[in-house]
Amino acid sequence: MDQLKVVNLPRKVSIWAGNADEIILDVGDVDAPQRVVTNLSYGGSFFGGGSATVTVWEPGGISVFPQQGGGVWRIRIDDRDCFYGFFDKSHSDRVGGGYMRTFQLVDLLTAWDLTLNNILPTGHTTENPSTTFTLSDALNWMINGDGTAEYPGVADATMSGIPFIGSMPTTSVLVRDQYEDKVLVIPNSTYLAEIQKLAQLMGVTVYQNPSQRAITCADALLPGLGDFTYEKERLKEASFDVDAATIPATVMIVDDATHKAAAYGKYGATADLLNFQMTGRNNLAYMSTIGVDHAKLINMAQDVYDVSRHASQILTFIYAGLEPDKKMLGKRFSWQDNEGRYGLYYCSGFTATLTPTSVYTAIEAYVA
Amino acid sequence: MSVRNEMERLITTALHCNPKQMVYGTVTGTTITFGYKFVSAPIILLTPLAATGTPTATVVSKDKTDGYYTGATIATAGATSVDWIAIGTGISA
Repeated sequence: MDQLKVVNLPRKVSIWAGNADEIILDVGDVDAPQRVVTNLSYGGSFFGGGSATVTVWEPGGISVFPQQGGGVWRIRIDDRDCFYGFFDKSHSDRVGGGYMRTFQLVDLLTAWDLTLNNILPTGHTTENPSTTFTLSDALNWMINGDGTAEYPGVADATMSGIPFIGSMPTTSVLVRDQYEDKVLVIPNSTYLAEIQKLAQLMGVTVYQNPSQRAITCADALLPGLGDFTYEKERLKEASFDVDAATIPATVMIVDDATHKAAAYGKYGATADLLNFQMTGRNNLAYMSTIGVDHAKLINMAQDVYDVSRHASQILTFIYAGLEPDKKMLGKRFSWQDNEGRYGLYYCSGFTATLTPTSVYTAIEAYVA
Repeated sequence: MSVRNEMERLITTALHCNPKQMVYGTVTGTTITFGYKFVSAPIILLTPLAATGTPTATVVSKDKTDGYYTGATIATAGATSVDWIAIGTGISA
C-alpha cells in the first residue's frame, strides 16, 4: 500500500433502459449532441439489496428521453456487464438548455415478490406429513418449481423471468421436523418473503451479483464460491471494525406458538463460551419464531450466534478501479499488509463509483 | 450494505411461519364451508341463534376434501341460524 497504482478511467458506458432499449451515451459533437454519464455508482450485497444510481446529462436539441423504461435495465462499462436491475425512481432537473437526469435502480430480487399461497409439500397435512420432503426441497420448490405447469416456481420464465443460477444449498432437515404443523403452510405471502424466511432457517442467503441477470443462493457461513484475487497496489484506505455489542454471549430463541424456548452460547444447554471470551460481555440476543418445532430452535440460535460473531468483524477498503471480480459477492480473499499480517475474509458487499475524474470501489467484507 | 445491519435484521426479524388462521360465518343449514384449507382439524366454535327458546348446536364431523379440512357438519335444535368460527393452520382454498 506504499505505492498506489494509477488506473485508467473507463471511457465507455452503455445503458439499456429496459423496454426503451439502448440509450446512446457519448459526447457527440456540436451538430449531434448526445447524452453523457456524469456519475454512476452501483453495488450489491451478499445479503440482498443491490442498487445503482446513474446521472445523465442530456443536452438540449436531442430527442426526448424514452419513457418506456420498464423491464430489466443493464449497465455496461467498457463492454462488460456491470449491473442488472429494475428501474425504481427517476428525477430530472432542467439545467441550462438541457436536463440532468438521475435514475435509481434496484436489484432483481424485486421480481420475486410474487403472490404465493400454498402448503408444502403438496397434498400433505399434519396428520399425513411427508417422510422425505426436506427444507432444501421446499426452497427448491419455491425457486425452481416441481416441474408441473401448476407450480412453475418463481425462477420460471412464465413467472418473474429472473432465473436462478448456481447450486441449491442442501440440508437433510425434514419439513415435518422443522415445523410444529409438520407441513410448511404459506398463507397469502410472496415467493420472495417465504424464500428469505426459509433461507434464514437454513443459514443461507439469497442475492444477486450485480453483473448477472440471475439470482444466486449460498451458505452464509461457508459460501464455497471460491476465492478472488486483486492487485495489492490498488488498495487504499483500509479500516477494520469490531463491534462487541453485536457479538452475543448467548442467543435466546422463543417460539410464540408453542411458548418453548432454547438458548445457545454461555447459557446454552451445552455451553459455548467463544463469543463471551472474545468480548467479556454477557449480552443476550433475542429472537422469536412462530410454529417452529422445539427441537430445531437450538440450531437456529447457534446459526445466529456464529453468524453474529463473523459479521461483527468487518474489513472495509477502497479499491482503485472497478470491482476486481464481477462475481465476488460471497467469495473469499486474503487481506495482507506489507509486514505480512493477513486475514481471510468473505466479500459481503461493494459499491463501485465512476465519475469523469475518478473510479473506485468500496468493498466490505466479514471475517472468514 | 452493512453486514452488521443485516445481522441486526436477522436477529430482530421474527421468523414467522404457519400462523394460526381464523375464519367465520353464519349458517342456516347443517353444512359449514370454511372457504379455507386447514392442514389439521380446526377448533370450531358455534353460537346458535333464535328469537325464543334455548337453541343448541353441536359439531357432528369435521370434513375433509383432498386431505384438507374444508368444512363441517353440524346438528342444531331450535336455532334459526348458527354463527361459527373455525381456528387452525391453513391457507385460503
